[in-house]
Order: sequence, then structure tokens, then C-alpha cells
Amino acid sequence: MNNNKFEVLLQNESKKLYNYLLKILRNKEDAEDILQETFIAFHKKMNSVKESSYKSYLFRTAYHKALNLIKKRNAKNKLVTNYQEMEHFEDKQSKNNQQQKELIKDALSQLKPEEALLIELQFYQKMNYKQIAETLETTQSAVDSKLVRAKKKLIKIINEQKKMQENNLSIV
Amino acid sequence: MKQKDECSFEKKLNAYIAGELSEIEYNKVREHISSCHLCQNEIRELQQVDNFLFQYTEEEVPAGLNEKILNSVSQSHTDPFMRKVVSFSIAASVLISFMAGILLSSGLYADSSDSNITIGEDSLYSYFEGDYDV
Repeated sequence: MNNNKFEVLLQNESKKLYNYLLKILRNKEDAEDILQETFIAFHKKMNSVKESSYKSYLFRTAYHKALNLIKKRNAKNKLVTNYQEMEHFEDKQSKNNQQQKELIKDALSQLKPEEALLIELQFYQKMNYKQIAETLETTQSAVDSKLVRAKKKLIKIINEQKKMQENNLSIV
Repeated sequence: MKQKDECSFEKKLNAYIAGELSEIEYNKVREHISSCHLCQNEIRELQQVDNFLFQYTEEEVPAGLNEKILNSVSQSHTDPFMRKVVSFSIAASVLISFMAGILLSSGLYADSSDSNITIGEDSLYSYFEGDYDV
């Protein structure tokens, strides 16, 4: 029975989780690895998780695993590599229609992982404050204030991106 | 910029556009916004973020990844009851083999220990007596 439930959950949630991981990790292989680890970890604990909390549990697990990976990356000073990757992306962006998507990934990756998760849960997973608070094991008022902070940061990032685009256009 | 902090409604604006306020609060904020330029600007900015984020279109999970996960799960994590059954079976078979070994060896030594040694001794004698060609 559990295996059937697991299979259904995997079919329903893997795409959402994969896209969340893509946004914050900005690397397909890492997103695939963390997705796999998340579902394996979930399967081990499935019996002790309430069915109504499956989705929250999955996102929380993915978040912690992604956070660990980001910490490891930082420890290995791979940020330089990521920055170079970003520049490479920027070159490509002007040539394909992935531009907007990459800008969003770029903006979200500049947030703290917890802030990116909040944005993910509210905008892409359509969770309300109560559900987000349950997922992150916090209060609804904390969710609101953190979301506002995250959005303010995003406003700055979007404005900077716009300036950069304008500068690039004026150079061309 | 200081003026911005003076509006007490600012903190409620995100919850307002997210539909997280009660009906009474929602109506209060809506009424306030209609006459507050600071809040109108703030809402415009917040909605700018929303519009920006909603432009993201989801990517498909790479082909075969879900199947790979299912395979990993079935390999790494068999049913706990079955694991107990398998563990118990292994432990029982080891114990039975051990006991059987003890019983068999004690039985063999009791029945034919002398004759075995005799055969061995005979063979050795024969070898040194030159019955065996080298």
C-alpha cells in the first residue's frame, strides 16, 4: 500500500520539487541528486509522517539537503565557479528565450535559502500562510514578515537586473 | 523615505495582496489604500515581484529520473517486516548449521576415530617402507 502511495506522490510532487531545487541550486545534476536523496529519505520515514504533511515533509527535507549542499559548495569556494557559470548564462540569455527564467533563478539564488523556500511555497506551490508555517515549523506572523523581507530583496535585485540590461543595451 | 515608515498599514500589505487577511481587515486596508499614496506605491512594488516570479515556467523532470528513484527505493529499503523475516532466517540457519556441525563431528569421532588414525598410520608406514613409488 505504502509503495503505491509513494509512487503516486513521486509522480505528483517530483516536478514541483525538481523545479524548486533548480531555482535555488541552479544546477541540473545537483537538483537531480537532491531530488533522489529527498524521496529516498522520505520513503524511510513515510510510516511516521502524517499523510496530510507529506508535501510539507518533502519540501522541508529538500530544503535541508539543498542547504547542506550549498554550505559544502561555499566551503569548497565554488562560488567563483558559480559566478562564472552565471556569466556564461548571461551570454547565452541574450540568444535564447530562457532569459526570463534564468533571471528568476538568478534572483532567487541571491536570496537566503529559507527566503527562497518561502517564495517557492507561496508563489509556486500556492500554499497559504498556515500551510507555510506548518512546513517551516514557525508562526504565520513570522512567515508574513520573512516574506516581506524576501520580496524587498527581490525588488532590489529586479531593479539591479533592469539596470544591467539597460547598460548592456546602451553598450550595444 | 521616512514617510514610508510612518504608515501603519504597510505591514499588512503583503498579507492583503496574498488574501491572508480577514474580511474586516481586508476592507479596512482597501479603504485606506484608496487614499494613501505610500501604500499604493508599496503595493505596486510588491505586485511587481509577483509578476516577475509568475513568469517562471516549470521544467519537466528529466526522463527516467522518477523510475531511477523508484528503483533506488526498492533496492535500498525493503519492507521492514520482510527484513526481519530475512534476518531471522539467516540467524536461524547459522545456528542450525553450527549445532549440526557440533553433533556431526562428535558422532564421527566417537564411531571411527581409531580406524581413521590406523589408515593414516598404515599409509605413512607404507610410504617409508617403500611401498609407494615416488
